[in-house]
Amino acid sequence: MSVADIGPQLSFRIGAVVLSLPMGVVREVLALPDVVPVPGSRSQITGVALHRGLAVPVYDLRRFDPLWPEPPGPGCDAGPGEHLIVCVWGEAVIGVLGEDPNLLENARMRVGSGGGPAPVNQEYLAWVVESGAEGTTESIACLDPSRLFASLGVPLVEAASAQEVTGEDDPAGR
Amino acid sequence: MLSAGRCRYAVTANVVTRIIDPHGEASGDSGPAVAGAPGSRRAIDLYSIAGETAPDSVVLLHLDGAGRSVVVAVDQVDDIREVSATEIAPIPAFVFEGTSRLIRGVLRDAGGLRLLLDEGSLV
Repeated sequence: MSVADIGPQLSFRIGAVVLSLPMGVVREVLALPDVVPVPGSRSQITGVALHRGLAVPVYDLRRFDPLWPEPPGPGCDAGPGEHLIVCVWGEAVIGVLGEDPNLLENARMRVGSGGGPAPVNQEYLAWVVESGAEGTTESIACLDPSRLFASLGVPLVEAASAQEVTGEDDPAGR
Repeated sequence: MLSAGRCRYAVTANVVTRIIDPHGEASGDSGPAVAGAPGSRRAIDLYSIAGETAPDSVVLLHLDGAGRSVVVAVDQVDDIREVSATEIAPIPAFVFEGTSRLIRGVLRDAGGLRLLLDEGSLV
């Protein structure tokens, strides 16, 4: 094993799989707020939450089949994650459902030896790392946010007015 | 403020030209009245869009805009009230599958979150 310098990550669990996203894209972590389903939305979106005046699309990665080597994703028979990981991508703000969010510091992380199949498809994988004390380590799939968010349909450049609450004259920003 | 199945909606009041409640009108319009709507109005089926089935009895809303006229079936009209634009959070376009969208934004009221129909797409 070797030390990986991949920066701080926020890990979270989806079913039995532990994933992470770079802290650089994570704005905050919330207890799961009210989420309203939106008719006509993409299949991996469970709905939108209203947070800090923004409509935050809520993504359930279990429903995103391309992510998983064997769809459907892990824990599909379980309930949604108990936390919402709010991410900023370009000017878009989105939420990802997950459980057991934890901040991973570089010092605790070692690049894994590569044994066993990757928990997610390689296309979306930046690293597989191992975290925890010796004997109790677990593998964490560090997601590549560029590939993931692009595949989820999140544009890197979203017109700011499309999501920010604007003035009285034009609430939809049109 | 409208309800249709599990979903709660709002629509701008100034595009609503008529509300037909089969329980209050002799015409006895009843559902799934979306298909049997009077006149040549285009029918918007919020139930099927949400993956639900319209109940036997619905309330019909006639919406008229500059471009066209549509009829929308809902469970009930909840109330009519002022909503400040600042209460409405626009839903970004990338949320939607394809290019069409019927939902413009989301707002919170006493019952929870409510979706604002996009009258620009409807009429």
